[in-house]
Amino acid sequence: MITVSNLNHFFGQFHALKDINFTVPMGTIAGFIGPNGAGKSTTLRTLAGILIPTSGTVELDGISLFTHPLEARARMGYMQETPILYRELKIREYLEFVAQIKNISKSEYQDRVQHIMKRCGVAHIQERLIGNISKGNRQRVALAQALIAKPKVLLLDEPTSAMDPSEVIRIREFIRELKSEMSVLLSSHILSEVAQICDRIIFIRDGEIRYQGSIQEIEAIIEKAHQTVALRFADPVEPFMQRLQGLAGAQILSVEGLFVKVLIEDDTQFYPALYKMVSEYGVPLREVVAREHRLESLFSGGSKS
Amino acid sequence: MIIITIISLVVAVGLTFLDVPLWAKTLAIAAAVSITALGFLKESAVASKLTSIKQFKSRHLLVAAFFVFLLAVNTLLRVYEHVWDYSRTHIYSLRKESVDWIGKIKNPMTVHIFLRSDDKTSAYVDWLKNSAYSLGNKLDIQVHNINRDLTLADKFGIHKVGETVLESGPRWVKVDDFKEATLIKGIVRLHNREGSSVCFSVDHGEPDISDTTPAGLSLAAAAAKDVGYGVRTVSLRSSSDIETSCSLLVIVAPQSDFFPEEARRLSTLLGHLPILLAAGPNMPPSLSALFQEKGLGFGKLLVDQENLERHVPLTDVQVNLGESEVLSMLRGNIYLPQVQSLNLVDMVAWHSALSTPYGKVTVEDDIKNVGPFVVIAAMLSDDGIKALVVGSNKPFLNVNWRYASNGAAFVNLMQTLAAESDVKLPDYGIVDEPIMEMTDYQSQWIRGVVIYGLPAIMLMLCAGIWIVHRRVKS
Amino acid sequence: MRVIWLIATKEWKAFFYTPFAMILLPLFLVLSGSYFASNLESYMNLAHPNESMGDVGFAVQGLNTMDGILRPFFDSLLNVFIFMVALITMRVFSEEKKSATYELLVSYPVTPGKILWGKYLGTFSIVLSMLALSLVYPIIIQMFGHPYWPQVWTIYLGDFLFLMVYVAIGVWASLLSENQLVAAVITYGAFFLSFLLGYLAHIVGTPYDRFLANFLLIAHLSSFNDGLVFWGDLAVYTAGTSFFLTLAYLRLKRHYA
Repeated sequence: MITVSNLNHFFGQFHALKDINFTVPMGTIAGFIGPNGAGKSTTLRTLAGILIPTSGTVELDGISLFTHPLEARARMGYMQETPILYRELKIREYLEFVAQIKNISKSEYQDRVQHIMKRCGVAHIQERLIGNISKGNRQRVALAQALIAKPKVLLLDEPTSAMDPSEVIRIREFIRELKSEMSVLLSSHILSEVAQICDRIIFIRDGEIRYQGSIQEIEAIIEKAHQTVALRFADPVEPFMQRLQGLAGAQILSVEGLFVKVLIEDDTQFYPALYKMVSEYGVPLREVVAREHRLESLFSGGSKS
Repeated sequence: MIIITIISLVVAVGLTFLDVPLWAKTLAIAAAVSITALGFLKESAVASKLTSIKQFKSRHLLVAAFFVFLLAVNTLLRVYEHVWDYSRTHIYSLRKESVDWIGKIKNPMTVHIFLRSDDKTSAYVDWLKNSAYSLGNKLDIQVHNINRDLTLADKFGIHKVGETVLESGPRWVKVDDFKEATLIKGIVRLHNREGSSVCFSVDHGEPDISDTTPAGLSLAAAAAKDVGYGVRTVSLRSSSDIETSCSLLVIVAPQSDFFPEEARRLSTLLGHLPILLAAGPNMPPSLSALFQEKGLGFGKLLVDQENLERHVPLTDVQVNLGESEVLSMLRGNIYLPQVQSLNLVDMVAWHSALSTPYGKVTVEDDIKNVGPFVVIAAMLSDDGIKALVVGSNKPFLNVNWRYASNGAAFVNLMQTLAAESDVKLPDYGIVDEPIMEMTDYQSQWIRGVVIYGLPAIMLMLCAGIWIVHRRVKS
Repeated sequence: MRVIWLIATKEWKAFFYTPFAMILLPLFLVLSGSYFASNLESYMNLAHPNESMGDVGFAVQGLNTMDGILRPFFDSLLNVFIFMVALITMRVFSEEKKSATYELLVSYPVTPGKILWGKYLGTFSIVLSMLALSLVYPIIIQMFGHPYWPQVWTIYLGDFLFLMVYVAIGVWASLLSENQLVAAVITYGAFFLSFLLGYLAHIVGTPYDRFLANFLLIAHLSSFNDGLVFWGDLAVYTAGTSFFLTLAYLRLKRHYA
């Protein structure tokens, strides 16, 4: 369980995180999405204990990260966006190092390391130096070090960015297997991935959480709140502009020549009103161009929900 | 804030150079330090974004307290300084003899140590002061600056850094450094010389000790004073206190003969103090009779041409002084400046080698041609030299002599002889290590090993580790 | 404790599994070996001169292996260490900061204290092993002569203490920057600063000169080189080490509220 309350972070004068609040319950995989510079990495690094925020609290598995740093970190596994590891060590050596640092006992750690290497698909190259392996493999090693101590909280920063599709599928399955025992917070640009694997979405933009909820909830919100259509008319629209502006359940966004972009706020009201406008007032509507906006719309324009 | 800090630091530093009272300097420095510390604390408080004042205070107070603790421990250990001495020459331990000798000092003694201002020996001097203090505080150790305390330096004739003078009342002794051994020897000499003089005989036409011409003995007298002796003239006829107050009797180039009672007196004196007799073959007959009676006389000494190297002692010398066993005891007891310990025949050879490179020479030739005096005979006892007879037909201390060190040689002889009558000095013989025996071949070999061999081995070792690690085991 | 050992051994691995060790250790041996050989040679010239050199004999007095060879050698050895230790410590934290391994390390359940001790002890033990390597030279002398070993051990003690502080400075400096060169420069700089403070001692008046003189780190070594162990010197070196390690700890602790 991850609980973040009132997280604020200033980089000098720049207010990077503005009052962040969210939770990730046990057994869920939450997707942390947002445009570049929105604050995803900052948040993740704060949760990993690398950054100390200006104010706010973080609880990992019920333990406050700031008042009990050691216990909190013991329950957490973090995978960096660009994993940089100790290049002079072999994979196995490195993972044994991490296992012991994370307090896995002397009798267990070697078995644990072998096990996790198999699950992450690096067991066959375990004697190779980290400096010599491909980026994809390094990501797997990074994932392995995050998982090795059976964390209750898993923080993944762009976990599959360098992997090829088959690997991605494998990792996805792997994480799904594990999710029952932990809370996973996964940040990604790859929306299809997020959609496939996550149960929850947390959308951040300009340092603020815009949305959070289950995928279905969000998609519904998006669909509802962000459906824009373009109405194509036969004639210039000035004469009936007023009527259009009075359309119920909609908001005129823009007029471009014969196209009027309309934001549908309530489609139960909008379509009947439109139909009425066309049939009763003879507004020369020729075409309604609907756009499918899903998660992507969050990234472009759009106002608050 | 920064400006205030800089100003306070500049003021504090500046004040240390000026001549203000100590409390002002301390105050300025304390203020500067506090302001700087406050500045740092403020900056770090802002930078660390700690969420509560209490947290900030507790952490920084802890750190500050820790630093104060460090400072306190350091100061404490400096004040109650203790030393573990593992040096080869045991620099920081006083030997029992030293402690005894310091205890014997009756009158307060001042030790003047002359150093330069940047000398880093202050810790040792402090230790000396502490030791002297704890042993009864009869030694007052003062450090002088050789460049600044010029009047004192001139008074004692200080030329080298480290020279030290031990002064007790009107007498003083100069020594070369202030190591324990040297200081104690100086103390011994000073102690023993209270009431000691070098006595120059008169009444036989000897040169005068106040005569500053080349034929005079003023230099010799000054040299005696230089090492702490008093200087007197005595008459073998009339002075009755020669035994008690003279450390050395010097008879230089007597022209007229000695009376029989003077010769007898001399004979008695030989049992009490050393005599330095500077004369030549034309010695007054009663004196030469006296010496012959004691088993010494003049004769020819022949020198073997083949073995004229200075540092190789002659082995085969025909000596015509009769079968005196005194002569066999002469070796190793002649002192000349520059060369520490040369036996009689070496010295003869030296002079001879310098004067006539070819052929054999005799001592008489030496005396005639060469000029520096030659030690002709010496009388030894178990405790050392009792009498030393040096011969020359030239006036002493003549700076025109071919070998300019003659005057110094004579002075050295005098000083050394006088010191013989001092109480036996403590022997701080640090056994010098035998010189390391290594042949050139071995040293070359070692050179190769340490510069090339060992690094190569290390390189291979490390490269090996590196390579082995990189190998992938399937 | 296990964690400290873990981090320290990782330092060793980073030293030996990279080209570092291969370059620095032989370099150290070459430098110190050259100094040793040249000191040996001058001693040999004085002690066993060729017969053709005439004027000799008295110069030999007081020429023992300690003063003749070993002390000048240990003086030079110290210079070698001053040069090389900064090179070893500069990568301790800087490398980690530059790469993101530092971040990962911080995310692990390790206290900053343990990280610091692990790094410090790991680095210090590497430097100590170099000091131990230098024992080869007095041993060579022992095979041919009679060095006075108690004094030799005190010299080593002095070097040990000095290196304790020096490595602490290096570790702290490497925490200050991501760039290894900058860290090395800061280390050298701090060391030279101690010189500055030491020389100030000569200009300043009496009560402060002894105090300031304590800051000149290598001044204390001269008494160790004489075979003397002053308690005050012991305290200065341990204080210096604590000072810099505390500074480093404070810096490190910033990540742990």
